[in-house]
Amino acid sequence: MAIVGIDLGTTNSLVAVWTASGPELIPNAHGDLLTPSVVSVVDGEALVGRAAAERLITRPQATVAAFKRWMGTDKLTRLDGRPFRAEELSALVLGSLKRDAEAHLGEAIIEAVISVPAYFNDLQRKATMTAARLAGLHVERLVNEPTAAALAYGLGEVEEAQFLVFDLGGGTFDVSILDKYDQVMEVRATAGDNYLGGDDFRDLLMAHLAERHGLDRTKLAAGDLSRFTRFAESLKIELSAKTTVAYTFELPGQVVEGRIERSEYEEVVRPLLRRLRTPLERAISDARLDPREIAQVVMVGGATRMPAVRSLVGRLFARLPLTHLNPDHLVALGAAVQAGLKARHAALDDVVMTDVCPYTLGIAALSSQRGSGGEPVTVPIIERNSVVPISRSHPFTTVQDNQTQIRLEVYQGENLKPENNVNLGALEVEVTRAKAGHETVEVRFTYDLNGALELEATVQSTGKVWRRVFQNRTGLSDAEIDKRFSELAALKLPPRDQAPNRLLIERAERIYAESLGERRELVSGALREFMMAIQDPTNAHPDRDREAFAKLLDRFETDVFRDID
Amino acid sequence: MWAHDLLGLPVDADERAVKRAYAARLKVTRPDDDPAAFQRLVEARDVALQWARNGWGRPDPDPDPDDDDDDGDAIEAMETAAASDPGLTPPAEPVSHGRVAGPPLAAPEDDRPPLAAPEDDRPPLAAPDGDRPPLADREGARPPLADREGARPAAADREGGSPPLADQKSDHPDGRRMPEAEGTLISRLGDDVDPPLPEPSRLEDRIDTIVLRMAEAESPAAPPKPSRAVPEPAGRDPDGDDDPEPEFDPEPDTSADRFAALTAEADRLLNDPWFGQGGGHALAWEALIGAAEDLDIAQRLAFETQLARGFDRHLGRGRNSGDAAPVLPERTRVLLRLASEAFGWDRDVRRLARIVGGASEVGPLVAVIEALTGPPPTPRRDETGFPLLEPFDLEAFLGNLDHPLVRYYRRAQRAGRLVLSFSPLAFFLPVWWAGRNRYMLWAAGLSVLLAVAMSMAVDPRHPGGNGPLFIGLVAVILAGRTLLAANAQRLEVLNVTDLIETADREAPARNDKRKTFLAARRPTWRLATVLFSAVYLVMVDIFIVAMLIDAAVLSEPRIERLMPEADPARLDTRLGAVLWREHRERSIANVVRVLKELGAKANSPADHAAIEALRADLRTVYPEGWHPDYPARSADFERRLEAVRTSLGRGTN
Repeated sequence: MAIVGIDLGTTNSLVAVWTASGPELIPNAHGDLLTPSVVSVVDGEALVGRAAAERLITRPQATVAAFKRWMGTDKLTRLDGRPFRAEELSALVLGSLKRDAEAHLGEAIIEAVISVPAYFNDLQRKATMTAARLAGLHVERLVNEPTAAALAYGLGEVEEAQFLVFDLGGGTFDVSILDKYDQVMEVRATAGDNYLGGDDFRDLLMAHLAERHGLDRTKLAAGDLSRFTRFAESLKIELSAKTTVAYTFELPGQVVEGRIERSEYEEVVRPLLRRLRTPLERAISDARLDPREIAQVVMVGGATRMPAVRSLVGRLFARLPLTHLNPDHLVALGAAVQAGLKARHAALDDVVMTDVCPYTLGIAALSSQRGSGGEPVTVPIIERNSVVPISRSHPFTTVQDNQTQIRLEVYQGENLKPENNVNLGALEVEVTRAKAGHETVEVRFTYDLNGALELEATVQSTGKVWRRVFQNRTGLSDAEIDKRFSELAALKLPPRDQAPNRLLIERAERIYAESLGERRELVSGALREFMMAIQDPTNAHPDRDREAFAKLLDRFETDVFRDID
Repeated sequence: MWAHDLLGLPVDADERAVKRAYAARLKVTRPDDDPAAFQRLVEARDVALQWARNGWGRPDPDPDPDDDDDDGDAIEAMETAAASDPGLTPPAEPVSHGRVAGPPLAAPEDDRPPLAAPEDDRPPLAAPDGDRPPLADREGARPPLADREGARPAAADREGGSPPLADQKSDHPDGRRMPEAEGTLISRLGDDVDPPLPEPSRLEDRIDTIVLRMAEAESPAAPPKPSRAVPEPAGRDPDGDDDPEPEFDPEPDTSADRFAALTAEADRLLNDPWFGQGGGHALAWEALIGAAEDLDIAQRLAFETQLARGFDRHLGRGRNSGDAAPVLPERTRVLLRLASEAFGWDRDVRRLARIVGGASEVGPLVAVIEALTGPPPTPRRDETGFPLLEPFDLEAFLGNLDHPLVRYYRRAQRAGRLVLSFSPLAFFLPVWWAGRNRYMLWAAGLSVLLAVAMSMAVDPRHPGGNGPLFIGLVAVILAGRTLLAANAQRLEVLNVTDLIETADREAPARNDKRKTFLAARRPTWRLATVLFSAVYLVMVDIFIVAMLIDAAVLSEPRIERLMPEADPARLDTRLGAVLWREHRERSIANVVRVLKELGAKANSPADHAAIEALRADLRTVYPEGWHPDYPARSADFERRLEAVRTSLGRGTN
């Protein structure tokens, strides 16, 4: 039974499988390799992917994108009158990918390897696991995105080298340094920024355009805003290919047009480019490397197509970064490689992968040092970028006379002050009454390959052991997951063979919403006819109708974008 | 070595071999199958890599390859050397530097070649400041890290990716990573794990002792030791004082050389990114300090100070203690450390931070520091807008010490003491007046307790004081005062009628005289009682109001207005004490060095006498605590020093 590798991205998701000839991407119902991570729910029917992306404009209230950024939070999105957690939305995307893979491979898929940004914290990882569970997938391994990309890149091509993976996706930024030698793939260090991605570049461009043309984005209707976002996105992409782009954008009662230079755009996004440097520096210093020792810089993620990003990396490392033809495919391919590894596929038997934990893990304690003023500080137990699995221990003592309990608050993060780190939970340990400092508790952290943390506290005087595993803290209890699972199952999903038609319908509706006057009538007339044609059971050539309709829509689209040059 | 045993390697295995062996074992020790064995394997690999990179375990001039034994030998050798009077050591005695310092820890200069491989592997020393401006212009060649503290890879020295061999020299004079005025003790706040960092107090005590011992060693009784760098011919001692004969000259040279070797060794260790990865901090610390035992006292002081700072820096960097840490300018971190030491506990720093205000977590502290040191200099930036580090200027910091904030802080402390010295009096007075009344005794006892607690709460230097406790105490006092006022009748204990009745009850027969006495003065007593009550209550009120004002002032930025009359000329705060101590140590070390140089040059009795006089005055000029006459005395001292210097300069011409 095949295990698939899934890249659950902020903007696009992909699924791939390990085959005898290497990793292979699986197309979705529309024949695309990229499935937009967009979910739309209307009248109890859930749409995922491109069809849903079209609805961002026609039904912005019922459609949601970029929910990966909310993973691990309690944020609720109301679609069709029902609140959804980010896990559930991700589950819908995963479910759609799962069905694509099942259709492609002709067998049931129950297990997957999902990639997450290396910088995802424990909560976010758990949320991803929950999403998989809600989608009916068994996920034992999460793989870090840069690791996956390096797997995809490094496996066949390099025997021995250290390389840096620069992964700038839609919403997240990751840097990993890997060392490959003798069939060992070792992650030396990871760093990143969970809130920095191509979308931020787009948003800055939007803000810039809005300022230039005196638009108040808060006053735009939701649909117009979505159109504006889409427009900025296409402009951003154009700017990667051309140095000057002329644009026209219609708003109700206003036509926005102008010209933008690439240099102007790069000036606008300079703050973001600067933010790219910090994780790079940190990863290199954590790996104790000289930048010259890095053999290759691998660019991953759609946003690395931007010339500004490439030239930044080029300048920093004094060499041309290595770019795949499709930087957004690499992670999924790597996830499939990891899936192959997981299944101990014969061709991969010799490759061993070691990873690091991206964050420092520690507990809050009063420092024994003079001058600390009785304020708790984070005492690191597992330092970030230690090779996992790892188990480390540290003794702590009581601070008050006759203390009977010690509360071990577990924190994740690099800050000295506990309140600035992520609290993962706590463990209460009972000790016998004694003078301050006379009771010692040995605290052991064990961090496994999946980023699950086990805390074990041994009271020295009594030898009693207290344990806690930070694994099931998903934000949802098991019962809740089951309940939500059945709720999600109750959502209607459009039949897969109807997916291309649904996409065309949604697309036509979007074009209708975007155009005015005569064009509107043309589109609505064509849409009516198309719907009649596909619902007609006596229609012998529904495919022909679909193609004709698609061509018509393409014409409309070309019209819309004709001026943009 | 257990790590090499586990990997099945000889101890002199190189990096490549270690990695190979690790890879081979990894195939059978998969992380998902046996995590514990895997962890052990990773640790073994790290240790072995550290060995390989440092060139330990490799055959070197010392025939014995075992590291630990070498240490023992080295320390033993040093002890022997230290035990015998250095001045009497015959020059032929083969106290070679390498032997004394111990091969694994102190590589002598001429033994460098075997270490060349690790030198190549580890990043070169950071580019010196002076080199920066021209390098900043080189587009493309500039690595991201060159100007960051704590990140040493400085390909800035090289163009592009291909390092010219000429740049590979490791003895870059400015590349030393131990600048004088730096040291990141602030990282101690969080460092309760690493044993090698000596207790700050211990280290400071030690340095203090050394400073004193040094002053004693330099007392006029002992003639100045010639510690010149270049041995002079014996004929240059015309006055024939008991300056050692020329054959003793190698001894001081050895000391200077050893100092250089030790410093280089410490640099090398601390700059090695793998240093301490497998522990070994404590060992290295002990060995280096031990090796410095027989150094010249001033050199030893300098070395220990440098070493302590170096360790601080190393540990501070290795800990990765916070996101903000690497971004925080070195200067700010030093200042933070000074401030937190000066005020004894960092709550005061935070309190000051509150007064000054600020937005982010680091913001307030930085704001305090900026306030203490004057307007922040605009940091220089590189072409992409990254701030470059500025060296910390302690002199400027000292010069700025009369900042209103510091003055206010001192004044607040004095004001607090004044109010508190007043308070026990306010509470005791009634007791003294009322004689043996039990209500008043209770009230007095309670008030004494309150006063003590209050002093703890208000005096900012006293540990345990804080806002809530203070407010609670004020509330208690207010309640007590209200209670007293409400129960004014009870206060009639002071009423003479009561006293008479009491006297009657106690001994009716014997108190006639007293009763008459009291009865005669009844109206006076009444008046006195009323007056007393009024005065007492007003005093309590004043006290409470004073406390409230104090509290309000402390928590609001109304400092400037309150400040003009404060006395700026004294360094009598804890901050001052710390700064003074640092300044004093450095100045003394500096002057001692200068005097030695001069002493070596001096060849007339008058010059020697002048130098001795200067030496004798050192303690007066730099007393243990700050003295208001310091500026004048030090200026005078400088003048005299300069005079001697010019006279000597004339003499040689």
